[in-house]
This record gives sequence, structure tokens and C-alpha cells, in this order.
Amino acid sequence: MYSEFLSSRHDACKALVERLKKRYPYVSILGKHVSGKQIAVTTFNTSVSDTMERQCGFVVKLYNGKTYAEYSFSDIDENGLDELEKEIIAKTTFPDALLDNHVPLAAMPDEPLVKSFFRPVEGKIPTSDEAIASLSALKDEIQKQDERIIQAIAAFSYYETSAMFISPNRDLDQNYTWMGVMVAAVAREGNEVRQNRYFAGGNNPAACFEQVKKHIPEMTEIALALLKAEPIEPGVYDIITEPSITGLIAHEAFGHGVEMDMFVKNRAKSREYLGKPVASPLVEMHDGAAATYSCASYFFDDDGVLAHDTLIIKDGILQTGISDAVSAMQLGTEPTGNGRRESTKRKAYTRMTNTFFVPRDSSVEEMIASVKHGYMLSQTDNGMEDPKNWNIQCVCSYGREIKDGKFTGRIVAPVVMSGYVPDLLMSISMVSKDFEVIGAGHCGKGYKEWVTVSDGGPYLKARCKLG
Amino acid sequence: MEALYNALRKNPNIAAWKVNVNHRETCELFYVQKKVETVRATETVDYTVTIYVDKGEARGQSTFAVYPYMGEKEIERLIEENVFAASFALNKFYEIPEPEPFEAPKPSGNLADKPFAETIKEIGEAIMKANVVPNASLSATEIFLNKNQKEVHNSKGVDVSFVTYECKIETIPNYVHEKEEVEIYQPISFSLFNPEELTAKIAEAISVVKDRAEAIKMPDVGSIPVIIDDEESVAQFFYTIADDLNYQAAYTHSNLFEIGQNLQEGGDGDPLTIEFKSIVDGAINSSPIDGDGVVLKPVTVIDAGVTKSRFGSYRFGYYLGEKHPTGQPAVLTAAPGTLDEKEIAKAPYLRCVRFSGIQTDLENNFFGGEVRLGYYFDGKKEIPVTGFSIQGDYKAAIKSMRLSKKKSTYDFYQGPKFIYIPDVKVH
Repeated sequence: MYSEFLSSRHDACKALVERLKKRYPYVSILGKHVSGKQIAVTTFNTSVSDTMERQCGFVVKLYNGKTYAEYSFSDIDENGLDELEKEIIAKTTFPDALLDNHVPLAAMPDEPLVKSFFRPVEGKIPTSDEAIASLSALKDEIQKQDERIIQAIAAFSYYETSAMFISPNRDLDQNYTWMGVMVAAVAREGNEVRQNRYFAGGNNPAACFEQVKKHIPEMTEIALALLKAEPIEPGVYDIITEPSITGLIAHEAFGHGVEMDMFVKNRAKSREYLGKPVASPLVEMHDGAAATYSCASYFFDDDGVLAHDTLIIKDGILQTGISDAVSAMQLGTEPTGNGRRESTKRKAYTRMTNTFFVPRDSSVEEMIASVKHGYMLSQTDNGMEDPKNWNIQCVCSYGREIKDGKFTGRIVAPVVMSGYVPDLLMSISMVSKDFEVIGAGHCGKGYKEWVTVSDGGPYLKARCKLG
Repeated sequence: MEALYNALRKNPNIAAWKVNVNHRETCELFYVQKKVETVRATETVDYTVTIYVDKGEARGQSTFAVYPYMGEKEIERLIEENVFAASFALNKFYEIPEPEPFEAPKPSGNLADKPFAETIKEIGEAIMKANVVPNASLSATEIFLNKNQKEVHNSKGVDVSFVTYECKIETIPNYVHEKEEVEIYQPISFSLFNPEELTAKIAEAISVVKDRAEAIKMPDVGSIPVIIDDEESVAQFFYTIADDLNYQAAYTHSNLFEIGQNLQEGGDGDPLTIEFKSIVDGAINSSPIDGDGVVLKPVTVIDAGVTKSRFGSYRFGYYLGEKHPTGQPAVLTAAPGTLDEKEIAKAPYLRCVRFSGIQTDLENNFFGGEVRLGYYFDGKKEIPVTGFSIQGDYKAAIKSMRLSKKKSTYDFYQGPKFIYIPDVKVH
């Protein structure tokens, strides 16, 4: 249900916009209220707290004729508008000597639109006691798989986002939910401790619980197998990436490089490659809140721009990047609905949403059978972008060895992929028809500004340096 | 927020409670190249409430946000909802901290001396003063000037607050070499603003990116002594070791180290001594209290390679039977070693100064990652090198590592500026 708090502040926000537009060529207000819970049951602990995504507040954005200026605040009161207006003006006034040296900017377009968006939950969100009971059952199920499981973890999280965007010509609001269930097993043998996890996300709590339950035996089996994992012998190998690692490549290795605020700052090598080949002709890549349904599927972004489905790579050729509104204005392009803030306390940047490669027609079995010696790489550990120089650093939790088209049973962990991004993308020789987008991620811009993102795609066969 | 405290006090189902308050004022400046694109200011307050509910021998808890807009009725409804949730989130009983004598330290540094808008302008000028090197530029620079006022209150009478000021900068030095451009990520943080020092730090970062641009591919050397000489990576290398001694790791049996264990047995490296402290000059994570209101005191967790004590949150310390749990520490300090540049220069080595993100994984007994800039010393001179990764045996490194005499300070760290590890694979 749309936030009562934001509803009750709507008229005050409209009134503030009317006041500020007399002074500034552009003004808008974003109000956001995100609520929800995260509930975890482990072998050692049960906890209930607010969702990590929680926030409640406002940010006003102004164009002062030189730069954009923003002020974030916690609440707005119709009776206190005089004071708030004065405070906004005072706090966003900086010495002329500083602002005179500004980037050439202008007031952003403010196309008229009044619209409400709503995505209802499918089914019922469990109450705290119901969630704890379901999670306890999952935890027991993990625990009973093997006595070497020293800790079982089951967690449920959901959040409901309400947002409103008001400018002189736009009045938008949206309400949607996202939830997920995560299970993990920590295994120990002697002094070896290893863990593995599985996540299911969506808009239907019962379906999420059902999906993770099915995967518990496989998830724990891998945690136990990891106890025998060996380090990989560094080298260049054929690889098959599971959808989690495909997503890691789409997101970290390539996606950050097409965030067009990086174009503005001259930080992205991909700008030179627009219209040129960057990947094998088998590769098609998309990003967008409207590109698929996952955790970043909002209806409008934090700049008040409607969600898009952006085709980034088609047949291996780089088509375009993604952008927030201020970056698009500087580049003379259309914004793509990718302006996102960690919260109303933070600046909007160009950010990815749901980023993925599209499936083709190979079967996973064919792909495995085609490998002479290589690894199937699984489960994202972490990754770091390098949009300027296109170096890859992607860490996979583990890899399973393939020799002569068959799994040998040998498992290596962790596996670090490295190399040059176009070399990896150009080496893609098979793309599966199986396809999955995983909505469990949080992405930073550099080392901060965390937002929820999903990524994924099909299984890919490629060649890469592993260590 | 008196309504909040009244509602907590009068609810008969609440056995204990804690409120964390964070008032934050910021002033922010965003440059694209040398020009300002966006200015920002924020003034916000967050209340995070934890309520504890007892049921028999067990204690449940639930943590939630209360917002300034909320009235008495809404707060009472929210508390009831969370009392219900906590009555199912039951764990072994634990206490919350009692009040201790506490005097808030004066905020360190000089960031409160002038209005933020004036100070941030001077910070911007100090940065741009170094942005004058031919072929070099700062692609983007973000400056955050923050005032944080943190408070912790609980039902046992803990009632503490303190104020800190900090400046955090992120800048991206870029260098063009033979038409190819490279960049590095350069974070800087401080509470004492010294314009000359800041200009010098930016100039140093520009010289690093110049070296990265001119770097050659790392020769194939197999294994070689590696020096980790990147403050964030050095800090993480030590923190991962110390973190195994966290109370929670022991309580959940996921720890690898036992108390009294000599982590350096049989090794010939410099002795490893790690102490957690609350306030360290120059470390912006310094804090006199933790999130539970525990007054932080120095605690030595590793002394000359031998694990001495555990550390961590009041709750998990209580579970382990600690009389005075340490609280979650603020700053890790590591004792410097004996190594200096002169001694290092006796044989070839590879000095790694910029990682794309070092991996330090005790479970898998692995450290390493992709290195964006290193200096290969071939026995005669240091040559800038790039395009390689390192991979080492973590536990073996702890035994054999040599630590620099020279110290450095980072957000949550003060200790050796670099770590010398004799045998690391380079590929």
C-alpha cells in the first residue's frame, strides 16, 4: 500500500515546488519511504530488524543558473514552508567564486505527466511469527543434511517502496515490493571451514520459500564438497559461466563502463566503441528497470524518468549506454531511467538496474561436452569495475573441473577471473537457452552509493585467465 | 522524541530497550574535471530502536526505525508490532550494557572552525592546485564534509553522545600516455584540514597514475617477494586476521584460531601485534563508544604472534562469559616492524601499490587479486608494472611477513605502511 506518510506530505511538496520555481529555473522534489523487515534464523541466533533498504525522507533538486544544487531533509510541514524555503536557499548557496567555475548546464526538461504506478504483492507477506516458523523449518532441513554443517542460515527479507516525484509539470507516484529468501550452510571439517548459499527472489513469498527448499540438498552438498576444494593452477582455460557469473561479467566487467556519467567524466573506454564490435556476434545485452522483472524493476527513477529497456549490445556491437538525467543533458542524449540514489540523503548517479545477456540456443550439456579442459564457474563472490581500462576482476566462489567433456569431481575455490574485457566477450563461443536473472545484489559506485541490482543471463562458454 | 521514550518506558512487555540517534549535517561538492557540477547539503536525523522481550529463559529482540514525523499513536503501534516480532525471535538470554563513566572527547581537527561552505571551497581549491600536471587531470572529484552527532540511550541508563567532523574525498586522477589513458581511484579522508598536505597528496596520486600509464607488462617471474604497499589493502590484510578472534566467530564455531595459539610458530617474520583502540589521530573511524554504548578501551588481541584475547559486541561477549565485553572496536592498530627501504633494496621484489580490490580469505587460506600498479625491482631499479595478479598462502604469509618501520594511518587503521611477504605467486 502506498505510504500514508508520503500521501500526507504531497500537498506540502507541491506548495514548496511552486514557491521555489519562482526563484530557480528547475526544481523537483523526490520523496521516498521504504519499509520492510529482514528476519533471520540460524543455528545460533534469531533476529528481526528493519530492511537494509529502509529510508524515509525528501530531496529537493534545483538548477541555480550555474550548477545543480540539492538539499536533503527528513520531513516537510505545510505550516513550516517559509522556514524550510529559507533553509533550502541558505544551505544551497555557495560562494560565487566556487560556483562561477561550473560545468555548462541548463534547466532539465520537465515534460508534463501525472501518473500513479502500483505493483501488488502476489500472495500474502508472512507475519514475523509465520516467517520465523518457515525459516526455522528451512534451518532444520539444512542442519539435518550432514553433521559437518556447523551453522545453518535461513533469512527472509522484504521491502515496500513508495516514492513520489513532483516538479512544476510532473506528479508521479509509485508503490512496489520485492522479497527474497536466502539459505546458507557453513561446513567444517578439522580446521577447514567453507560455506555456500542459495537465494530466490520475487514478488511472491510462498514461491520464494518453495524454491529455496528445493535447492537445500544441492546447496549443502556443494558446501561440503568445498571442504575438499583445491586452489586452481593459474592459467588460461575454457570456462562455462553459470547465470550468476554471467551476470557478474555483464555487470562488473562491462555494465559499469556504459554508465554514461562516466562518459561525462571521460572515465569510460566504451565511449570510443559506440557502434563498434565489443563482443562475439552471439552477444546481446540489456539493462533497464523495464527490461525484465527483478529487484530493480521500478516504474520511474529518482530523476522522475520512466523505466526503460535499453539495448546495450546487439550482435556484438555496442549500441548505447545508460544514463541519469543530468548526464544525459550534458551529453545531449535522452535519459534512460537509470538515475538512482542510495537514499534521498545521497546524490543521483547513473546506475545499473537489471543487467543481463540474452539467451541463444545451445544446451548446457552441449556446452560441457565441448570443453577439453576447463571449469564451470559458479556463484558470485565479488567483482570490481575498471571502466577506463577494461581490466576484469571477478571472483567466483568455486569452479568445477571439466575434462574431455565431463565433470571430473574436482572442485577449485575461490577462482579469480582476470584479463581484458573485450577479449573475454569476444571469446564467447556458445550461449545457452537456459536463462536466469538473480535479484540478490547490491552494487556500489566505486566503494559507496549502494543500490539494489539484479544481473544474470544464460550459461556462456568463453576463454579466460583464471587464478 | 519524548513520545518515543515515554512509549518505551510505559510498555509492560518490554524488558529492555536501546535507542541509537544519528544527527547528520553534510556539505558536498561534485566536480567534473576542474568544474563544479553539483553542490549538496543535507540535514537529517535517524532514530533506530531496539526492543528486548523476555520469555522464560530466552530473550527476543527487534530493531526498527522511528521517524521524526511519527506521532505518539504511530510510535505505540510500531512498538507493539515489534514486541510481537521479538517475542518469536528468541535467543539465549543476554544482558545489555550498564552505564559507565564517560566523558565525550572534543571533536578532533579543524573542520568546525568555519562555515562548511567556506571550508569546502578551500578544500576544492587545495585539490585543484595540484591539478596542473601536463597530460594529467582529475576526471571527477567528490568532497563530503560531514558532522555526525551520535547518541546511544538504553533502559539501564546508558546516555552517551559525541560529535565528530570528517572530510571524505574521492578523486580519479587520469593520465594520457601515447594516446592511451589510464586512471586510478584515490580516496582521502581527514579531520584536520591542512591545504598544503592535501595538495601534496593529490600530487602524489597524480604521479602514481603517471606511473600506471607508463607501466610495462610484468615480466614472468613465477614467485617473488611481494610488498603490499597500499594502505587500504594493508589494513584489510590485518583486519581479516584479527576478525577471526571476534566473539561471534567463536560462539558460532566458525573461528580458525584459538586463544594462546602462536600464529607465527616456526616463522621468521616480524612479530605481529594487534591492538584495538577507540581514538587514533587521523583515523576517522575513531569512536569513544560502540553502537551498544560500551565505552571502548584498548584491547590487545594478538601479541607477538600469539592470540591473547577476543573482542566484539556486548551480546556475544556475554555469551562467552566475558565479564567486560570489549564492544565493537573502532580502530585497529598494528605494531610496526623492522624493515626499511634500504634493507628491501638488497634483492628483487614486486611492490604492489594499487589493487582493484585485494582478496583476504582465511577460510580458503588465500590472499591476492589483480594489481593495477606495481613496481618491479630487478635488483637495480624499480620499474612500474601492470597487468598481473598475485596469489599467496595467507597462513604462511603471517609467519614469514616482514613489517615496515614506517607507519601509516587509514580510516580504521594505524600501523605498518607496508607488508613484505617473501614468497608470492605472480601471474
